[in-house]
Amino acid sequence: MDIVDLRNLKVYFYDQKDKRFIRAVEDVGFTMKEGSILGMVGESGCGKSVTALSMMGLLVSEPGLIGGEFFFHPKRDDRKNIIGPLLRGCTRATPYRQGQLLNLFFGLDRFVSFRENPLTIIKDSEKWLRRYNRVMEHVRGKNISMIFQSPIQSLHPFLPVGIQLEKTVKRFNCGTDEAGVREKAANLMRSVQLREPETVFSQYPGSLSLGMAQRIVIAIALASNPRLVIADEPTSGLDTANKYRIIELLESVAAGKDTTLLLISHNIRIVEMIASHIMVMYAGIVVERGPRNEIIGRRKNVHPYTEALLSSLPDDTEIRKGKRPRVISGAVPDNKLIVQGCPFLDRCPYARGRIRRKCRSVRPPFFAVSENHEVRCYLFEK
Amino acid sequence: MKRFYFEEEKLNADEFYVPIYRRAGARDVISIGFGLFVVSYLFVFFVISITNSFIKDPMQVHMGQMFLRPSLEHIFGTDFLGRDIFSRVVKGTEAFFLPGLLSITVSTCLGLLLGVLSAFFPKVLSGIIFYVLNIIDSIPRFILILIIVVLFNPSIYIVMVFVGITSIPKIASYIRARVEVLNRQRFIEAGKALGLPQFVIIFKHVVWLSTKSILIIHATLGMGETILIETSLSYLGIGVQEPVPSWGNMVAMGRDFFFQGEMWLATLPAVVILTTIMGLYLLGDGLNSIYNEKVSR
Repeated sequence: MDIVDLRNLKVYFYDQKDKRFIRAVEDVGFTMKEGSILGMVGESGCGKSVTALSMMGLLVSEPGLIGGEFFFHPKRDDRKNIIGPLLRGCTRATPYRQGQLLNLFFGLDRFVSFRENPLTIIKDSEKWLRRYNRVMEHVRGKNISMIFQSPIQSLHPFLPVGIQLEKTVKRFNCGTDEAGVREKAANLMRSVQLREPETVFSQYPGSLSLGMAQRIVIAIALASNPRLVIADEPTSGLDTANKYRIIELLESVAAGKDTTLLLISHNIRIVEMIASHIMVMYAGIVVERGPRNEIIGRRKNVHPYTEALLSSLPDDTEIRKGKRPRVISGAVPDNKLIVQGCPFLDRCPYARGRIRRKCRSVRPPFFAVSENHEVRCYLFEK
Repeated sequence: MKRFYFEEEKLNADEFYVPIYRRAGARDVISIGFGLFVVSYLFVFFVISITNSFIKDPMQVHMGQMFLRPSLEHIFGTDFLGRDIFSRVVKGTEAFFLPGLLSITVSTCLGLLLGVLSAFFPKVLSGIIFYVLNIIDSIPRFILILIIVVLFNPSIYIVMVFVGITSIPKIASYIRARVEVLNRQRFIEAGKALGLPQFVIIFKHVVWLSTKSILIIHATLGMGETILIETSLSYLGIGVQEPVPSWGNMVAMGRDFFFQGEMWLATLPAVVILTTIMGLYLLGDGLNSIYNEKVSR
């Protein structure tokens, strides 16, 4: 069953100095099955974090423009709380797609104009935001929780970490007594494989190591048994051994609790370890999405950018064959210049001859390589 | 793909924790100790004077015991009416203790409220609040109080409310700066991602957990300033009037006899004022240096 269906997400920031819009993400969309793990890969500045933050409704920079549809399947208890504020003031359409999915961005298109040129902001957005926050009260934490990049900074510096964990557990398990809360917190600490949970319990975040703090953050994120966990670069700053451990921990915890996981990373080797589906982003658009085995395993029929990403981090067998890591020449194009054609054109080794003219003029649509595997490249046009 | 495992180095967690007594340097310990001594004797003096359990009555006039030098019987000596100066010093705490508490309550509560409001609603409220606060800040405090006293001749409590109001701008700007810094931190965003409502984040995570230390420090410093203002007003003769003792009017009375050779009349109350205010300032300073290093370590 689909649990998340994001369609046509657009985020633009307004540059007040140059008086124009900067494209952050455009046409981003994916679906996630319950219990699956989706890996989102891309260089820095490709819009991965913006996608995650806009799904959580934590994008604060304004003025700007956000649009799209975000279908989500909330827990049964929260459905009623979410639908009420969603429908307030709306008469025509309903926020449902089909079945159980609710559009959390419902009503957004009334406040955002989708005309490409000129892009306009409608003044009413504050009213929408107020209603949206009322909806998201029941979504954030309970249904979707997030693991941020820097674990130490995302814990409150003046409270012992154990207390923070206990308070989170208490918040999401109403009616549980002190002993039950403590036991649940201890179970969570054990499930994230913390050594010496008793000593860690009374420490402040400043005195923890990065790995320990990341485990605590994971425990806090899992305290509410959320439907979806968004892990935004959970391994940044960790050493190699700890990186793999945290990733395996995420996998085992997600499997154990039947949680859906959206894993965001710039390291494709980290993502391929646990992800069942992979989505590659480049310069704010999705260039490829498909099952992991199709993309990593066969290594054929992939987007040139994915190929470059893979060859920039060769795995063990390739190194034994004498392969060296390759640098992708060039840089991500400036988002201020809205590129007409394929954004990867300048760095693409295959864009030669007749195909190059096509790449430059029109942005390629998705071409299906096989079932579920789609690539945004004219090389796969049939 | 091969996965690497290394035995994680066992970390002794206690090594990282710096307890508060080790965080403080010798200078902080001395200044805080001195400050606590001052606070404790102020408190004892106040309790003695409100329960009226003096050994020597401060109001009792003994014409035969005028200008006695400090001795075991009269620790600070006696004044020109033969009243015991030490008892009068003890009694003098009554003049500023409760008004001072009122003043720091007003200044910290309103300063906290206005600072937090202007930090969380920067577009709407910040401009208005700080426009008003800057006007208050631009009037010299002592002159404002003198004008109020001379025009309306109000009670000491109302004067102290105005003292509190004049120190709001400083606290409010401190709190606003702190909250604005905190607002940009990751843990506030993480709190939002956990679904916490806005007022829980404001009042619990920002105000209660993170700006407590600023308020304590400013309350201590504010008490010192209040004592200074009260004594100055009494010294100028527009605060507490004779025969009710106050440290300020005791210095003012003793001033007339200073060059006649009876120096302790003015000096000893002045020394008490100096010690008290210095103690309170040092207490605030010591707390400041301890609390502000808590984050960075």
